[in-house]
Amino acid sequence: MKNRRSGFPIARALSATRRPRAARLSLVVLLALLTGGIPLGGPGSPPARAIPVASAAAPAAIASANAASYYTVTPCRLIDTRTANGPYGGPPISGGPTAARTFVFAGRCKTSPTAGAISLNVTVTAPGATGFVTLYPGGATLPNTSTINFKAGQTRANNAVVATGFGGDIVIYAGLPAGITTNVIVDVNGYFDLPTNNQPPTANAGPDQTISLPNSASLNGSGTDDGLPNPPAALTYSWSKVSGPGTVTFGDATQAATNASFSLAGVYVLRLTVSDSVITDFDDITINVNPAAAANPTADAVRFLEQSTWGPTDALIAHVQAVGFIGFLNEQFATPSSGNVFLPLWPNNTPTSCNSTCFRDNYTMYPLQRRLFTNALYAPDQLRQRVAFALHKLLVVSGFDISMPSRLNPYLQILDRNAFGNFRQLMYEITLNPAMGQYLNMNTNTKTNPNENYAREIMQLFTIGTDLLNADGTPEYDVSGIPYPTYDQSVVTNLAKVFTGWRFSPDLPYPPDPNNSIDDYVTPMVLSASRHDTGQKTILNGQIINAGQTGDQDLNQALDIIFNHSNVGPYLAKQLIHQLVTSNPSPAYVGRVAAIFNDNGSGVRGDMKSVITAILLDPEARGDLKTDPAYGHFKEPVLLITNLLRAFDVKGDGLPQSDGNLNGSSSSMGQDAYRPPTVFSYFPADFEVAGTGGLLGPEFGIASATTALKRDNFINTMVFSKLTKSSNPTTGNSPYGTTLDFTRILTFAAGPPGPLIDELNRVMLHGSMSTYANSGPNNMWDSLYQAITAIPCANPCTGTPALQRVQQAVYLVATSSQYQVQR
Amino acid sequence: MTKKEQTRRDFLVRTSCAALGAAAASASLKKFGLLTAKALESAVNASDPNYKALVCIFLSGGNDSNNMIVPMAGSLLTAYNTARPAGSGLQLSQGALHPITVPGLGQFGLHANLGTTAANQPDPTKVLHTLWGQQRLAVVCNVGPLVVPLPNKTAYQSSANKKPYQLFSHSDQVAQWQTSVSDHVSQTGWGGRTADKTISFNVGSGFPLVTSIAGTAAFAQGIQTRPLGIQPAPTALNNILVLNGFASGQTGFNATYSPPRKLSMDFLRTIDRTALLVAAASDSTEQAVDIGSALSTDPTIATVFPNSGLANQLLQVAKVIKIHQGLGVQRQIFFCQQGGYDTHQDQINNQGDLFQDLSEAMKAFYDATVELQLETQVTTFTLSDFGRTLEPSGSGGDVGTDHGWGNHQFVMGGSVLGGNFYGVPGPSGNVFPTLTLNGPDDTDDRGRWIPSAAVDQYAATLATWFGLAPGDLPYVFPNIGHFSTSNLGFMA
Repeated sequence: MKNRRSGFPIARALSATRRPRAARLSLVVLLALLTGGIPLGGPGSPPARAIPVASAAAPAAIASANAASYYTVTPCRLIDTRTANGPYGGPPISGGPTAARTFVFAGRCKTSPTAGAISLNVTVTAPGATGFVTLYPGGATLPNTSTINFKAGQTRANNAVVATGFGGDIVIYAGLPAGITTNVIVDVNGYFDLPTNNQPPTANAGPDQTISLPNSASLNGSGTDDGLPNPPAALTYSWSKVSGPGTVTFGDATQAATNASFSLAGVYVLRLTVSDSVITDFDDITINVNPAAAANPTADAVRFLEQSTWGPTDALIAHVQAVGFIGFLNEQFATPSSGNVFLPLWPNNTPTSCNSTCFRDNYTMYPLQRRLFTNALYAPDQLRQRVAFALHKLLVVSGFDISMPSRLNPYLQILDRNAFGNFRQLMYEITLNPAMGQYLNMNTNTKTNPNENYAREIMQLFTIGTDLLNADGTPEYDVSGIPYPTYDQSVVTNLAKVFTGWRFSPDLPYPPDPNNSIDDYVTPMVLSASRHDTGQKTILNGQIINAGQTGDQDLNQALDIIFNHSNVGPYLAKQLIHQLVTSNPSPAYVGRVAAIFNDNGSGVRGDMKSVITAILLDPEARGDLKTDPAYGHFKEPVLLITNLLRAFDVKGDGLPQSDGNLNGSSSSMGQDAYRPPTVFSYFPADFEVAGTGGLLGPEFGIASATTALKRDNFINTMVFSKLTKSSNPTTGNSPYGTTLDFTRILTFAAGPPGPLIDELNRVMLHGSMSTYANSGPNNMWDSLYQAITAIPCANPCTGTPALQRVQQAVYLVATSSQYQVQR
Repeated sequence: MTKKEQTRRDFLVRTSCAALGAAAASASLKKFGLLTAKALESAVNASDPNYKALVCIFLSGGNDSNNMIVPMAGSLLTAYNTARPAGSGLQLSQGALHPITVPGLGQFGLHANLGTTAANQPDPTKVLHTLWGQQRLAVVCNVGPLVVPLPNKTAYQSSANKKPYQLFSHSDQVAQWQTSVSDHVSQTGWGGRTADKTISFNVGSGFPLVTSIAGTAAFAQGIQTRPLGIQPAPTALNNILVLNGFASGQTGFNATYSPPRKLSMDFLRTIDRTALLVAAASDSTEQAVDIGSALSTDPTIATVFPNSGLANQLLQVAKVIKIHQGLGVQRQIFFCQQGGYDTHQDQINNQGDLFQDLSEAMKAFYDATVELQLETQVTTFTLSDFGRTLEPSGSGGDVGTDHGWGNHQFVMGGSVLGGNFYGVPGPSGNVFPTLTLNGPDDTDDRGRWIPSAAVDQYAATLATWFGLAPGDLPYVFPNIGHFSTSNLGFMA
């Protein structure tokens, strides 16, 4: 967007002063225009460039007939040397004339290619020494002035107008000693040009939109221009997709006003490009494409919450219906972590002063387990926690071995922090996490005594698995029907060498006891160069890591190689779909999510937000009714507990909030939270359920006759009684206790049982309960009706009989397999 | 057996197959009926010659049997001391070993903690080493997953010979030991498949043939067999499978309202079964309810068991065995597990503690079978992920070992031809590996032994003793035909 302002004063003479040594934050004007003798762009000839004068001694002679005009543009970042790549990124600017860097300005950031001067804001940050930066026209002599002055380490900014040189370029020179650098950031906010030159057209893609499938979006783009060049004066238009999970089909991509239809739900960015035949402009529009609006929106909203949170609540169901799936996801992505509480490290040996309560709180998983459940029951960052727990099951460190909460906590924080980040970053942080280093022995992996544990598991369990996968997650078989292995022992041996040399940061002292100390489980592991194997390593697919690199170089190169292996997308897609949606996704579903992992639509690989969105908005996840016999997944104990408690306004025992002391219940059902028995997690990802013809059901891996009854008995306790609070809230493990609050549900029990059953069907079974209408005489609704009406109650039904009816109904639904399998 | 019986057995196998995944599976349990409460315990008589049980102890994590059975003489001792020199942190002191003499092979020693009781155990006979002298304990040497025999390093390195998939990986090697299928992933285990083919011994009983006291394991899964999972002692047998809310005194019980609740609950398990995972969850609960009513007593075992995770699993096994007649079974397979063997670090202490536990728990269990007069009918054996590198890894106080392959296993019981080593002769000319780094039975140069005997052979020997018909061997062990023998001869 730009506005022309005629009559803007166009130039000032440069002052021929010495380079200032003191910082001076004034507008530095370098612009002068020369116009004589150069044709100003008629038909058939290139437009004249308004030629700047670079010399400080040049006169500022301007012919008014050729006065340049000022055009504003929406502030636009053109240069940022802090980012690594691209012609307008790093490296930082080094001191000295030969290290100056030249950048093309004119024609960028919606300025015209003929712009004679650029109005900009220049910022320096992290300069290595006191000095200055000068911006001056390309091809000109370095002026005796500075654009901005700074002291070492300062971040400073200044406005400037800088003339462009031939080719529209500007030089950035750093007045620093050779080899000393500063980062420079340049934002463009306007430019000067002759109004007789062809100015860029302006594209307007219209306001952002939200639609629901299968509707298409109406695009009302437009463009304006100065009529140049002439001919042709008419603008041409072109719509294209910038990013988004699916394909976009335009009604007519060459019309400003057209429509766009989308193959998949998700967030799309579309671009309208406008051309006046010489110069183009574009404008982007974001379209939130929601999944198909359901016939009964409640049902899919409830199922969506079963998949994306620790369990639907009445309030959240209404909220999702109000803001839509994408709206909810965006809210969740923006919600900060509730679990990121720092826990101070405790000494390696329990101090004698540490009594049993102190021991429980600092040397067992108790506080982390309570936090897990408390956050799951009450905290707003539901999706982050659900994903972080899924990642914990994938990238396992067990409190079985790392038994101090302050030691496991940094690991859990990494999962929280990166749940919505990039998988590559997660790989890096988890690799150097001390708890992981201890758990899988990377901390003692040295060049003389290599330890293969981490090398093997990062491939086998964390990223690619043992079998080569097709893009849709199905194994790639050889002629005899055996899956191709992704790697062999030599890869493990070599990768182990890559990971050599990393160890804990030095122990911290424990002042009260000189014989005790504190292992540093907070600081990421550090490299001991002498323990690193610097030989050449050949890892996945024969890719070579060259000899002589540092441990960090080796590490990053190896992680890049693993991260870019074609298995990661389908492998991770399957794992996360298992955890959130269904144990037996179709290959097509896995393929769609894997494709988003490979490229989120903006060229980014491993973008977790996009992967999660793709999983939850996929047609296989969405929809009111699931008829596929294989659909769904058995609720693991932690999920069963939180689902039940959240559905019925969980409170403490006579207190407003539960203490989250629920791991005892979960553990008895076979899932000791944060203490999975092995690196293979709580249950095997490839567990097949007997009697189902080979269906996967990972959570059935911890199901047994014992746990089946423990599940029902937990429900019995919660529905008919409570988890009583401890008599001593300090030493007792259950300071608040846990109860269900049936107040809201009781309002549905006031009359005949129908509304009560319907409400439980809505909040617990997303409307999927079998009824006479859809299943004939043998249906769940009628069976509940009989069990409820066995309890006599007057009309209106109140008091104890009403509560007994609610308890009867909730117990039966909660213990039913129809509820215990999320589908 | 008569022809008529054979037919009936086949019929029952088919019936149980057809009933899988359906409510009918539990109906069969109810229909055949189980003796109740007191009848179970009183039904135990002095002996029951028709009964047999296999008890698996899985040493989870990969036991380093290089320090379980240690040579005490000759070139093997030299090789051991070369790979694990004094000061390596892993060499066991010869003086602490418990010597065992192996016919034809000479002098070896069991790890110290397999022959010495812990400080708090006053009875010196409560150790595994005792059973060697009584010829109730045998060692099967250098067993591991194989697809075809790999008699030496050259054979191992030849691409013509098929190798097990994903060697040295925990989950895959656990699977191969438990499934006895090493050329592809199998979802069923050799315990479960053996049960598929021996269920006919348990005519009239709906009690599952396989019981796991250590959670769900591939070993226990058959194509038709669905294992029972129960908790270890000290949970009383009759407290394991109780559904609350339906008996006086329990939370949620109401004399008038509980019966209709139970009626509805039972009914809900029979509907909506087109959703397969819903049906599977219903079956799991159904089995729990039915078996809960069968396990309505908690028998006593006089033998004193140590208080450890493994010992408590084995105590629970002894209790179930004691009431086997009441359950109407003649064949049972049990799965127990002892964790912690993944000794990448601090192996000397960690493995020592594990062996102490293993030794005393196994001996107590053997004594319990003697108490039940069933010691010749109960055979206990170990499995483990893999052996470990003879060459140590790590340094300082963190010395451990990395994942290996072939491994030695214990077999214990009154029908075991104990006091001897078994297996298949390898490059050394006998069943014991050469212990030479980069030698003819090392996959590389760290002492990962190429197994001379296959898991299939080891397991088939046990299954054959259990009663698996020769004709059913290929069903349970699809690759058994690749090997020279299906019986390693350690069972009477």
